[in-house]
Amino acid sequence: MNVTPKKKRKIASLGMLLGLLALLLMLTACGNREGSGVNMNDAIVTEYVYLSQHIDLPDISEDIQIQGSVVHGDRIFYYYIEHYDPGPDTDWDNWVPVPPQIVIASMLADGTDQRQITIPAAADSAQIPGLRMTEDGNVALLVLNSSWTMQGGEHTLSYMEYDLQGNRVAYQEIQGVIPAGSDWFSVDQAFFADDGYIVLSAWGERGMDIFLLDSNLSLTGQLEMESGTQGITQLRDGRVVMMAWEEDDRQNWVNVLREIDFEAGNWGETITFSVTNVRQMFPVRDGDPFDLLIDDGTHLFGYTLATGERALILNWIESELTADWGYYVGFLDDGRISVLSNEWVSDAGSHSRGGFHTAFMTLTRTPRAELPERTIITLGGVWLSSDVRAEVIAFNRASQTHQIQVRDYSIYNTNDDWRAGNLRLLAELAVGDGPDIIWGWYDATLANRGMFADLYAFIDADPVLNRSDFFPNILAAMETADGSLSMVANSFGLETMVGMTDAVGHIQSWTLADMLELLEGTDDADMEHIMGQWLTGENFLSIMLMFSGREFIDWDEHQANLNSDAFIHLLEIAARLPQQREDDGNNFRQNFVSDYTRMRRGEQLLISTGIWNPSRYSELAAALGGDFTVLGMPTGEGGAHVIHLGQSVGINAGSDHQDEAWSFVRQFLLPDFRVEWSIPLRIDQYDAAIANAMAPFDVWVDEDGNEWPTGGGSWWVDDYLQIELQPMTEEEARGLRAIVESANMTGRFDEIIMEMVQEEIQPFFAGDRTAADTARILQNRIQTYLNEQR
Amino acid sequence: MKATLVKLNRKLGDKLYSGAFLAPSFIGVMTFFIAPFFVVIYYAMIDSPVRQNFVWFDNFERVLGNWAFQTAAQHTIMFSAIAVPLAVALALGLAVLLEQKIPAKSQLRTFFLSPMMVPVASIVLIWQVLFHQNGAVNDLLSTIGSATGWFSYERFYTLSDGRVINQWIDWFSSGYNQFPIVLLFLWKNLGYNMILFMAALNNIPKDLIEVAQIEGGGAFYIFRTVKMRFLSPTILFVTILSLINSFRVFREVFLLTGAHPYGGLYMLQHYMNNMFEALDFQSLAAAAIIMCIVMIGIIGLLFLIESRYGKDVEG
Repeated sequence: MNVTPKKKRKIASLGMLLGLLALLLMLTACGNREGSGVNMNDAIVTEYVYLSQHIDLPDISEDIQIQGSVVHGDRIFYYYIEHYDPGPDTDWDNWVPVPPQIVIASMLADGTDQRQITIPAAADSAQIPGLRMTEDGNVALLVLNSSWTMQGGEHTLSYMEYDLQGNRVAYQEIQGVIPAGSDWFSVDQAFFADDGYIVLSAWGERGMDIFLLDSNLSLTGQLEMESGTQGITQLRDGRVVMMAWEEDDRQNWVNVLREIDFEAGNWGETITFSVTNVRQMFPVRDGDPFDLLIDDGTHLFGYTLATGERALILNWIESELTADWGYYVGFLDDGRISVLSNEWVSDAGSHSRGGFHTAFMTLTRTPRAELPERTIITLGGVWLSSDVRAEVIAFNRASQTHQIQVRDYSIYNTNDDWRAGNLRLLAELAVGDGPDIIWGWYDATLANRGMFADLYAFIDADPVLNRSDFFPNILAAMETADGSLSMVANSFGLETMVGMTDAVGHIQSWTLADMLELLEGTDDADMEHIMGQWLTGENFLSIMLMFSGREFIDWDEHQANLNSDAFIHLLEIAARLPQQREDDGNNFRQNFVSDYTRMRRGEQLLISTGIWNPSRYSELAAALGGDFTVLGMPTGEGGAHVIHLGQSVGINAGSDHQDEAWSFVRQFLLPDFRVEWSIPLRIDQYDAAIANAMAPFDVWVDEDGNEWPTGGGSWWVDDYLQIELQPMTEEEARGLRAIVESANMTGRFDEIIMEMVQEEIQPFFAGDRTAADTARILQNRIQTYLNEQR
Repeated sequence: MKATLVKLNRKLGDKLYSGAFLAPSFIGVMTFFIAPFFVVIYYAMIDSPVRQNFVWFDNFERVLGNWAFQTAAQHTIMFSAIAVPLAVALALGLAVLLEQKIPAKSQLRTFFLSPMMVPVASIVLIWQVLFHQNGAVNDLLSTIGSATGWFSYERFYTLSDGRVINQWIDWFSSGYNQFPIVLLFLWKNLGYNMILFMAALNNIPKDLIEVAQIEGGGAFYIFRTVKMRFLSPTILFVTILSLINSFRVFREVFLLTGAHPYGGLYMLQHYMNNMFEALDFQSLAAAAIIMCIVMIGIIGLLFLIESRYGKDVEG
């Protein structure tokens, strides 16, 4: 064929066009793959922001926990149980218990027109699994009334309807849900579908069941639920679905939505979806193009099942809600969002004392362009605690020039990889694209990488903070090899070993050699009497590697010492321990005997325990019920109390906003910052927490002049031991202070080392290898790993 | 003048057209090969991606002085020094053998090529079964030992304290752990190398061999003086290929023994992979550049040797 130049050119042009088209087609494959959804950390700068307006509520007692909230039209309803307080002058001999009251309050979205109706409960305990508004504007609710007598529990589940004046307009007991003769029954949640059907998830002696009720409240179906449910909602197409956990082909537990087929009274389709951390689900609003709304604790977003696409609606922190737990979301007809928050706030130094704090907000959609422009500082972390969120909110409120935007990397976690978020954060830091402020668990390897600014420079220049404000030994534990402070935690815990004084009080020193000698002379059958009933060979080795100081792994020198006689000895002892426990540490099995009871009876010599907050020391004293000696974990140099650092914060060394970042970070180190769950790093906060723990409990005096403490409380440790909490004593306070001030070793759990240990001890435990060979192999492998980090 | 302009325009047009067709490949090569090369050099010369201070050759110094790197390099050199010559020599031997008139030549050829088709995961699984401490190889050795009486290879041994231990070799956790990997390498690569040698042998001018035979040369003499000279470019090529493949054995080793294997299996790729996992991109980049320079040196040396001994036979 004779091809002219003109034809050649035409063919070439056509070829070029086809090539470009192919290239473009390939590029369209980039971007969101099905199931991955929008990267909402990138999409955090939405076109609209939901600005919050705080609304004053009538005073609600700190003892009250709001059970739920619904929105109907322009009114917001919330409800709670109010228990009758008889007061100190009650004639107890003649007093007849007064059942609690159910209070249903309502108001307009701006907090005005507040109304309330009360409904007497029919028994000692009432629970409201669900409440909705009827088309007539009445309040319809399900109530579970429960009471207990010597003969067992009695439960009644009923449907009630009241008008807004408090008059009952309907009542019906629901039959068939509560098994006859049930001692224990609880309704987890109830969902009212648009067509009048009701779905109940309930816990009973059979486990969890799902009950389907029609509009006549007749039971039409009962479904078994192997795993718990995370929520029930109605999709845009009208299907009612329940979120559940199921095992996939690779035995990973994944989220699914299970459709409820009311007609068949059974499960319908199972829909998989890619969101891993669903806090709540909601039906869509009018006009929403998604299938459902999902709250993951940081964001509220619309979700489309077919494509896995997520459309960000709001970031709770940007809307000034910590969204930690205990909040109820409602969607008003005018597009505003109401949020009722009812969070538990602990007293300093205690997680058992505190109260509920209720807050109410209305969120209004506002174009971001209308807001004053501020410089953005990013804060990145995985599973940010409520403390951090609260401080971010406080900072954003106070600063006119800067705003902290939160990047919650937990959205990258998948069912297959729960560390994906953390790895993403690390990868972004490693390539210089990390957030300005990093929040997370203290990572010594990361801290020594030089990626963070030296916080000592900021502390030394700070007008309020001083290094002497903090426990020097704990601060030193956070320093990097060059003496700088890359990340700081404002709280910590301690891990130590304790024995009853009359059994171990004679021990003057407690080194690893002492422990090995003790165990060496113990029969196999008696091993659990030394260290506890949960100890297996594997976790014994893990504990010793983590808590033995420099004996086996010197992290400062990057030197392993695993082919030592001590480690070989340790391996041989580990081989004598059981490789697994049959009961899997089930504390709820019958006749369970705790370590504390065993210690009291002299059946166990030592217990490895954590001291996580000041009151824990008193709890330990109460649990052991006698004089005890704190030995510390056995190391080469003697007994040592191991420091566990709390969540830490650091400033990216490459950040352009280090001073502004410090103005945020320093909040966590100031005296008025509440450290609730751990031991404070600040000495003055520590002293205040001790003072609080030592404060006498409130008491009330009965007619005979007997004093009854109203604080503290008690709990059953096992079937044999009930502990009564008491205020901390001076002696206990001194003892704890001595432990805190002597702690100088951080426990270091290195996943890679532990994996190597687990791999190599299996053949040893199976008898395929000697302890010496195992030690030799581990020494080689772990030393190689340590050398890589020099 | 007009004709010249038309001619120029046409040339320019041709150049533009060819440029447009070349552009996607060129952009791709620039983006995925050339640019990252310079990025790696940059990363090797800064202290961290966050601070980005130039430290020039400090990272190289640190890597070269690192015990893990030194050990990995030593093991890599040792492995390559054993596996590559074996791969070349054995493949050449097989090619020479299969050039003879032997029965089932074609089937044998297919047999030696078939390992190339086996997926990596399957190979790993097979090797795990074979070389496990209680696996087939140990079982076979024990059977041979007890059947022939040449050596004793009993599985269980009783220690003085009464404990019974398994004394069979744990191949991947012993000083013999390079043996199964060398075997794996040879099993995978012999076939392809053999094919290359067979093609090269076929291309040797038959008349030269006939002349040598007429002149009274024996088979070995002809092989050494005639065939080897003509095979030298192929030997160079197969050596370079085998050297590259000796690095790629990391994949199987990683799947068999993890990121930090025992002893002689810890090689340069492990070091670099672990640096990547640890996000220490500075060490990774420095190590990669060092390895690249060494490889260039080795391959340059091979080219020099080949050009000395084989230039008279090149076309």
